[in-house]
Amino acid sequence: MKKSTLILILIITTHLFADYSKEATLQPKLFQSGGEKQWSPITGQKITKFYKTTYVAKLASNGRFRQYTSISELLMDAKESGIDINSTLVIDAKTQKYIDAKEAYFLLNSTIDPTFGVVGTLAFKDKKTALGFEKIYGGKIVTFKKALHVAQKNLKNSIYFMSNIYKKKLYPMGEKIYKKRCKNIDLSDYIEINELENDISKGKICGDLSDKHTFALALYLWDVKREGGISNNTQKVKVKEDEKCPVCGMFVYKYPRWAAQIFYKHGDHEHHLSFDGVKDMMKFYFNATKWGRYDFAKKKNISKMLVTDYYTQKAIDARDAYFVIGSNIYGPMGNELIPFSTKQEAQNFKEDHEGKKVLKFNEIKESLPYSLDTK
Amino acid sequence: MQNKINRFLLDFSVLSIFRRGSKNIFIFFVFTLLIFLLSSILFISNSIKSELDTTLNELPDITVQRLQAGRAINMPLSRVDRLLAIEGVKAVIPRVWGYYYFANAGVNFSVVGIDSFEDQYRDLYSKLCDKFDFDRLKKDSGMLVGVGVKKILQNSFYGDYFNFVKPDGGLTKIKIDGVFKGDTKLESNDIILLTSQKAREIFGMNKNEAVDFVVKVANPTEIPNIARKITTLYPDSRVVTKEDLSISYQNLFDYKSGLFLALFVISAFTFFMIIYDKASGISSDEKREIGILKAVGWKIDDILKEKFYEAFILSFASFVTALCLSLFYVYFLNAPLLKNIFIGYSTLKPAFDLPFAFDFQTNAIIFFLTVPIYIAATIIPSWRVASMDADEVMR
Repeated sequence: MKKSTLILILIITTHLFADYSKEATLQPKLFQSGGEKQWSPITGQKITKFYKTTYVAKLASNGRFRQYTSISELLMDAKESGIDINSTLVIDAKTQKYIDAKEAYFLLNSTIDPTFGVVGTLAFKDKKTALGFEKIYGGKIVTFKKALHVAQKNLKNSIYFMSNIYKKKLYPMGEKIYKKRCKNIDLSDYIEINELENDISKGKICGDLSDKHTFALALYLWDVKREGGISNNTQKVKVKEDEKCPVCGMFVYKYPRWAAQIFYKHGDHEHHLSFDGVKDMMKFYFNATKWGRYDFAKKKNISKMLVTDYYTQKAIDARDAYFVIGSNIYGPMGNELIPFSTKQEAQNFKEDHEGKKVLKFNEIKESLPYSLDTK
Repeated sequence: MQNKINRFLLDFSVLSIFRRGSKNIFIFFVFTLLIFLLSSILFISNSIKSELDTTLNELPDITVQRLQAGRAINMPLSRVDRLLAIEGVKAVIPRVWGYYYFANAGVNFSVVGIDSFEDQYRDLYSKLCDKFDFDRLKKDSGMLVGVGVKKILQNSFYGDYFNFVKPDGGLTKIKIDGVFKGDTKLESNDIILLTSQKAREIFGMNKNEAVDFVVKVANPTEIPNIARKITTLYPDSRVVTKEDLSISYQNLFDYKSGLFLALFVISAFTFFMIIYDKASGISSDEKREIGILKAVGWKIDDILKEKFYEAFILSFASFVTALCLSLFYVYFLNAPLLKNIFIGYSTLKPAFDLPFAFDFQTNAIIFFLTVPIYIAATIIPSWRVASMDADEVMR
């Protein structure tokens, strides 16, 4: 994991990305059938917009063509629906004609922005042209096999990279469009995202939308609405002005960036205690009675534990969070356990802020918060 | 109650003010002038402070520009994704905006292009997005204009549309779909709001470009770190954080308010000089009057009361007059002359109007600094005289 994060950082930091249009300049060839042929079935990206990095492969089951905008999508589809990877065709970025992928020269990780994630490819039939591009845009010329291998190795990073963009830009945009324009859409009608896009774009189920908005809306509907997942958690940890931290006695509302809460349920009512940092919350969690007459505060009564994610400042479940200790960021009570919702974020923070360790909730021992105090 | 305010005493004091007309008019005049100066200064600095606060609040967490040969050039939109991938970044908003010079009226309009489905970088815009139907704006290529723009356009007989001259000389006709008003005049007066496509068309910008990016960060602690990462990622960018900007604004403000403090100190000093002069002596005329009053049977108590009324009426009248004058001067006339001290500030913000910010505290300070002191300065010497024997005073 550490190594791949490093690679990710390297990829991101060493290049100044060049502006290169991947849009089709000749009449594009669309392989799939129906109105949905304009979009990739995996990510829903528009084929003609990223035409110069597209791939085509046949489904192993029925031999139907599938067209993708990037090598990562090809790999994702190979895993999901089973394609005949030997049948892969790739576009020649120069001539914009499809060629057999096995015979093409792949320019890997040039300064041209990858279409999806962190691995970008440009394919050429002619080695000379490929070398010419390498001179301008950098990167490395490899075979199809090697390109697949690198893309596969970085697939997780690619998906993570894209999920950030989706989460921060496209889902919110899609949600706005959905709320403003759309009436009920039955998502069970669609097998793949490009069918939905076709209905949005041609069927105009949400009125006239540009390509960008169509994509954002489809993505939101597909990933957020349909899955029901990615609970759109926009809540912060809410603290009233009179709440004091039972461990240190400070007013918690003054430090909203560090607020943490434990909810206890006993009998028929639920109430919560707020803390001005995870460290104090953990001290209380392990031994509540040490801090006063908190007889109800038994571990088995806990219904919910919330902490404030360092990056997003939103409330996340403490028991699913990752904590970084020993960093150069201090809370109101000094050294802290700093919470993150994903391991990647925690890892990233640890590298940025000289953290010592990433811990999961159940790896935190009772003695740890006290040892942080003495540092 | 009767005991407290003696109507005859009050009558007497009013008459006594008029009796020494020329002297009291002079005092009234000086008093008014000084309080006017003091309160104007405090009003202006208050007003600018509140202006500064709104400006600082509105500032984006991070602004990213692209530099070439030291000048800002347009940002390619493809950079948005890389910035979004940085942990801790909440949103990246490409801005399409610029100034449009309207030669007819000799003014600059701020033309702002927005996408109503995107995150907005100013509260005003998100409010407008909710309020106005941007679909319609898109369909009939309309625009929303600030109140000031509307007025200027009307003066040039553009009632419901405006022709923008594009860089290539062609015209773009845009309909005025609505007029809006912001919370402060400053933030909305000169703004023309339209869709980003139209804004790009007017400025002759490529559709894959924006003027600059605004980066929103959820946790302010993380801003410097993210700014550093952006510079590493795109070395040709200039990254300006909220802190940088607010420091430069604050510096300017502090410098200017230093000048104001000097003015304040001088006028306060003058005031106390006059007070001291008055407190240290009392004219023989006044002495004789007190003596006569005592001789006809007035108690010391009554004399002091009468003097109190006199001083209070005079000082309070000047205080109220001065306050009204300075309110008029600062907020209606926009503080000519005094505002010039702030000319340095207004180069940062071209359209500069003093926003109304009435601070009760400031006025209380001015009141207690002047009125009670003046009253004391009148009563104390009178008391000294009144406590002497009447014949000694009249001698």
